[in-house]
Amino acid sequence: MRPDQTTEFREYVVSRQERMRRFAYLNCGDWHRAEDLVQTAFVRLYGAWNRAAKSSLDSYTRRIIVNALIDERRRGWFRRERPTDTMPDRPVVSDDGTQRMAVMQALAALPAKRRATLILRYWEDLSVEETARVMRCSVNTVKSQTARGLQTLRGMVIESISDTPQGANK
Amino acid sequence: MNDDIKNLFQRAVDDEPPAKNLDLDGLEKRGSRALSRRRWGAAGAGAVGVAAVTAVALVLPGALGGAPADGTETPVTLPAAEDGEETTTTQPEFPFPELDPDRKYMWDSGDDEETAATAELTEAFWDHMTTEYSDMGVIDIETGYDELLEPEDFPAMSRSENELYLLKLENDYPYGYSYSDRESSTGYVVPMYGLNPAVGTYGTLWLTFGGEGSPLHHMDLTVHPKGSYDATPMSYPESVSGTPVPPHLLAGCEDVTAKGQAERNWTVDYDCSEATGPNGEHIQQLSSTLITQDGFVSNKMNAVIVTLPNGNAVVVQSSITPNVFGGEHGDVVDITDVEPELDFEELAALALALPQVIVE
Repeated sequence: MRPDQTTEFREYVVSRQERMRRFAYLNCGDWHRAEDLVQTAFVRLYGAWNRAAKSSLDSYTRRIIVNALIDERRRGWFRRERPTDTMPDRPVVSDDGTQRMAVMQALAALPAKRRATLILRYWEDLSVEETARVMRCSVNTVKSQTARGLQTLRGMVIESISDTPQGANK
Repeated sequence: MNDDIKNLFQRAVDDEPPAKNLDLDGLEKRGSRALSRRRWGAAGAGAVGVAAVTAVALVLPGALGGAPADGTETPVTLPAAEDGEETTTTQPEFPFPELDPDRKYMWDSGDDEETAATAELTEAFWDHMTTEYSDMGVIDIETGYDELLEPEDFPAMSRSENELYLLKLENDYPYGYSYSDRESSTGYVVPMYGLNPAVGTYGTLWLTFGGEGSPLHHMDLTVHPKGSYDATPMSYPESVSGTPVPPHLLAGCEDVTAKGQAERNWTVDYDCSEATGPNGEHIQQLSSTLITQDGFVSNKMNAVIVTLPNGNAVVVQSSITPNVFGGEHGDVVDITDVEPELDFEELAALALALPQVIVE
């Protein structure tokens, strides 16, 4: 990589670290893992800088994060690193009343690609077309994955917090 | 609606801890090294294997288990070629370095790729599984846990390289570790083939043998080259992560209890034994049961390590979880009296049904 490209890479990493960490966290539910995922993504981005810079660095980085997550799932990462993840999934128990836990449990119940699709659409505010480009799938797939993901969220989260001001009142 | 969902996500990240300072120099070094490795790999996978052996021999003399005592290369006879002639070649050895007994280590795997050898393994694996287990369904874990894959989409084996890292000394690792726990590379890199590209991690396949409402099964199969492994199980004290101590390929065999999240105590019961294959192959057998603090059986596993005549090791693993295939989210069943689908004999038979490929 040329010195000017190295400077660009560093500036990009510093400016996007926090945003990508939040994106990764919503996808994986663990801040430490989110940091790992983002580091992995930046390492891979370094190796593909020229190619990524020609399109959209953000899209490329998000795509690497989603792929790395799916890859980790394939590698059995959950079972290796976090024994609590081998616990059977249980319905949301709001003994501490936190909506955060309810959201994260609902997200964890979604398959990786469906979860990423929802996060790209509603957290990153990407359009259906932009989401399809990141996920490398058709617009129709984005629409169907979004609809099914929202159905899960409605069932698990929105009902459970319906007595709160910003719950399911729309 | 959009704002509602966005607000939900915002609440989910409300507990965001301070970010660690990113090591930009380290990122660049890792990126640069990955890039060179990829370019080097593109020049020829065979060259990588030979070069790795040479580098290890120069930098890290000394070897632990897995290597036969009588030499560094074992002649191997491959299945007859189409023209009827036999092809003979040798399995390169990847002698594992001597480690500091006061330190801990972890593997980190790079990108994986399919090769001619892994394609052979893939074909033989699925031939065996579909013939022997006609009620097997392979679950699509990428797009929906309630859907099954068509045979043409069944996961393939791949070749990967694993690099051995020192773990940071100040940490304890009762539940395993993550990439950020690495301190520095030892320089030891070894290839492996398998459904799973990482040494010591198992459970890649999600399977159902009883259809909807039955417990989820997991399986894995990996092949490790001569000299790179120890065929006896070993885990770090008080670790319930299931991560073996390098160069061991399975965690065990002493029972462990460790405190889990939310003050929960987790116990893993291990049971180990040995057997001999039809042609004298050494077979290490291991079963494990993960039990939560309230006595709930969370995972049961059978696994074997079969040491082949060419010095390579095949690890085959079959496990069962309480989660239910096709049920509503949260549905679980009691697996206390249910066993993993494959027993030791079936796991060994699967390992021995595969072609003895050269891992390089």
